[in-house]
Formats: sequence, structure tokens, C-alpha cells
Amino acid sequence: MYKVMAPVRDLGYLDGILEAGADGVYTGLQGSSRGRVCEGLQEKEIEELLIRCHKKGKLVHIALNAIPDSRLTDKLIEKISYLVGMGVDAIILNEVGIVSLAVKRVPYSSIFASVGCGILNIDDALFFEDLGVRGITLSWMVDPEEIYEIKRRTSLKVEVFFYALREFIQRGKCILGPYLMRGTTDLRRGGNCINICSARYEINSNGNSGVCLLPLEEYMVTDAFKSYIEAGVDLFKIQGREFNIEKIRKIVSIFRHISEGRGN
Amino acid sequence: MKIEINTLIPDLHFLKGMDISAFDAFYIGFPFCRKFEGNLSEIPEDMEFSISYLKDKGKRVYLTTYATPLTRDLDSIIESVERAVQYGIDAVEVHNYGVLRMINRNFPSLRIHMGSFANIYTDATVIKLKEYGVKRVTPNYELRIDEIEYIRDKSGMEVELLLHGKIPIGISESCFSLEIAEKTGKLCPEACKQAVVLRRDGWVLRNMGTLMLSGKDMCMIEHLNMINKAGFSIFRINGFSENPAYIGSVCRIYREALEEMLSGGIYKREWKEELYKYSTDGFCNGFYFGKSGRLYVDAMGNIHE
Repeated sequence: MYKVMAPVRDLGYLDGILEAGADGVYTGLQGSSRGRVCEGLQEKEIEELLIRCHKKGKLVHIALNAIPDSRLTDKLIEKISYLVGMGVDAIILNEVGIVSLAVKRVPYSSIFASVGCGILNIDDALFFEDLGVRGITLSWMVDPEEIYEIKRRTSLKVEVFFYALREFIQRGKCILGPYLMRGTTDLRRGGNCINICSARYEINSNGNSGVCLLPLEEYMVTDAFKSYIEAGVDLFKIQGREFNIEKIRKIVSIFRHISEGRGN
Repeated sequence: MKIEINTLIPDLHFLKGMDISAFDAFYIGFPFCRKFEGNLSEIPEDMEFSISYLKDKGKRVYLTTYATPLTRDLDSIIESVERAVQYGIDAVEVHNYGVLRMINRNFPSLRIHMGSFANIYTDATVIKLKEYGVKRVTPNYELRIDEIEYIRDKSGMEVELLLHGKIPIGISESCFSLEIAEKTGKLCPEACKQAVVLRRDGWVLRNMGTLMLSGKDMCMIEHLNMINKAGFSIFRINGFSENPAYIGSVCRIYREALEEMLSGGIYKREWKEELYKYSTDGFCNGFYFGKSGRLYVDAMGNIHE
């Protein structure tokens, strides 16, 4: 049975999110996750998060999606080991080497490959399954027919976005942030995407000039929801650790409304 | 030390317009969009001609493959690699792990180069990739030069560095050239042939359809001594978004500079001055010095916007 995973950046949000109907939550670990705006939780807070969620039978996934310098990977593996020991249900990672180290050095870990790993096709999924991951998060570019093929040929848990901000540049294929403003927007190095791509630009092409905004759209699975269920999707993710509690609760409620067949 | 300078040739028009003499090797094809007009990895007769032409001139030829393939793209990518193998390709460049897995299974003896969009950030990734027949990697352009050096030394893998030209900084799902077709009057597949310049508050970017590039030219001419001392020997110069005449001239300058400095010569200011003439929006150094990619760090360590 599919589940909906909601973001939690503050423990104060937790009851509200679970009451709205989330089956689980995900968050970052401070210092090892993306986001200077949404800093992630500290280890003690994650401990409390786990106790409160597991008491209610809810899942907890922790994103350690900032990729460290090669010389610091051991420290990251130690953190993964600690979190797995604590009982988190899955660790979300963002780079092949880190995934491979975690699988090898942290037995019984359940590793998910983040959307930042750029998994787009069946052979990508097989590659990450070979590495030892238990789950993958797919981009909205992968349609239900292709997800069906992944579910048919692998034993992976498949997570897709129920709600996200759909940026112009693909997830996992963008270094525009650090190109323009290193230190705050280098997503894979612990920065935060500030959707710099969606700013207003003057354009010039072969003598034609004007002003443009690169597309940044809200994405929500509505009409296609049934197709994703039939394809075998296990988890629906609500993107937005930066959102406030009201917005997250509202999206979870919409998910419940749609999933219970009460329309779009 | 034997050096290799290579570049990417997207189509026959580009190949015919450029001076190939200073280059050692070429990646053929356009990995950012399969519909790119004349894409050498998609048109069998153009692929055959370009491989044969370049091999006859004593150059090494590598096929590049589509960077963001969905399942429906995979069969044709394998067909394309199969064709290129028949035509005598020396290696294949891969940006996607699914494509890597397929090529390794179907062509176990084929040399594989992992491209910059494979998101290689650590030595652990490079070590893992050896199991899949990978012989060369281009770490993500976001890495500093000391990180790249560490990865190379720990893994023992060949590492390719971008030395000059526009930096690929993003691949989009939809085509920007089509988003602005009303303004330009150009449609697919010709729309992206003319690069679009985007400006905002002193920032400048270039776009070619689904590919976002730096607006400034990456330039490492002032730092060749450091590059040489660090032992790097495989270099890429990007010019596929420029007039084809640009790339041959830029490569000649780097060839002269690298050979002269490797044989004990010293840096000449005129190399940079000459390169500057080919640049429309100035220089940057990308991420090698740990700064924002659009900035330029000179040999004295001064940072220039």
C-alpha cells in the first residue's frame, strides 16, 4: 500500500503533519543535508522525532544529501551508522560512491537514492539496485508506464513526487546556483536551492531581445494519480522543507482527498 | 608527459568549419538533446563520415551519449554505440548510470569515459566505476582542483579537466529555445543552433535549447604551471556554442602554451591577451579555486567579477 511522506523541518510541525494524514516524514540532519534556510534537525531532535513517529507507526526518512569532500566521507558514514542504529527507516543519499560506502559499511541500512542521483530509466534503477539501495526517488519526468517497468524488473521501493516546485533545470543536473553564488546556493554541498533559475533575465538572440522568466511551476499529481498507483508507486513525496506548516498540512489533506477517491 | 587536448563536435557543419590540427581527440555528438540538428550520435551516415575523417587524420574519436535518457531512449543509444564500435570508435562518453550498465554488459571491452553530468564527487564513486569498465572520469565541474587531484590520486583513474570555454551548468527538461520561439521565430531543430544570451545584474548565461552554459569563458591559461605540476594531462576545450573557427584558434594557443611550459618555458601574457580577443563576455575559472564559478581568479590570487 502506498504512503505519503511529508517534510518536517521543525518538531513543532510534527503533530499537525501527522494529524493531516501523513504516513511518514522526512527531514535532514543538520550539517549533512542541503539547506541553509531549512537547516535540518539535530541528532537529539531526530531521536525525539523517531520516538514520536514510531509510536504512531509512522515512517522516518533522513536525507543526508550534502555530498562531502572525498576526505570527509568517513565522517558521513559514521553519521549514517549512528542514524541506522537509532532506527531510522531509510537514509536518503545523493552520490554513487557514498551510497556504495554506506551499503558496504553499514549493514542493515536501508538506503534510498535521492532524486539528485538522476535516476531516469530502468537500467539506472537496476544500477542502483546492484549497488544495494532499497529505494529510489524518481523525477516527474519518469511516467507511470516506465515506473511500471521498474517495479516489474526490480525489488526497489519507488518514490515519486506528489507535490514539488518544478524548476526549469532538471534535478541532479544543475550547478547554476554555485556558478552564480557559491556558498549559499550550492545544493549538493549543503547549500539551498533558491530557484535562481527563475529570476527575470534579459535575453538576446541573434538581434532579438526581450525579457524572460525561466519556468518555475507548481507540480502536483492529480489526474494521473491512479496511473501512478497502478504502476506500483510505494511512496509519494511532498517536497518543501522550506514550507510552513499550513501549506504542508494543506497538501497532505489534498493527497488524502485524492487518494480516497474524492476527486481532484 | 603526454598530453591530450580534446573537444566536442556536435555536427558535421561544426566539423567542417573548424581547424582540427591542434587537437588530439574528439567527442562526437550532442549529449544534451537528441533532437539537435545534425547530432552526430544520432545520424548513422554523419557518424560514419566523421569517425572515418578524424581517424584518417590520426585523431582519437569518442562517441558521446545522451545525458538524460528515459527508458524509451535506451535501445537507440545502444544501437548508436554498436554502430560507432563498428566504425572504429576509441571510447564512449557516458553521463548516465543506466547507460553505463548497458554498455558495460553489451560491450565489455569498450573503453568508457564518464562525463561531467554523471555527478562524480568522490573517490569512492570513481573506485566503484572501475568495476563497470570506466577508464576516465570528468568529475562534476563543481569540484575544486585539489579535490579532483585527490580523487585522481586515490583512485588511480585518468581524469579529464575542462581547460577553456563555456561550462555546461545545467540540463533542462524543456527546451528554452522553444519557450522563446515567439521572440526568435525559430523552431526545432534549428532553434538551438543560435545560442541565447541571458543577462541579469552583471550575471551572464548562455543557453542552447536544453543546455545552460556559463556566459563567461572558463580560462586556465594563467594557471597552466599549477596544472602541469599537479600532473594533469587530459584537457577539454569547449567551443561548440561558438563559431567553429573559434575552437581551433583557442586550441592552438593552449597547445603552444602547454608544450612550452612543459619544456621549461615560462608563461607569456600574450597567450591570455590573444584568448581574450575570442571572448565576448570575459573569463572565469569555474569552480577550481572554490569560488563562485563565474568569478576569475588570477595567478596572484586576486578575484575578478
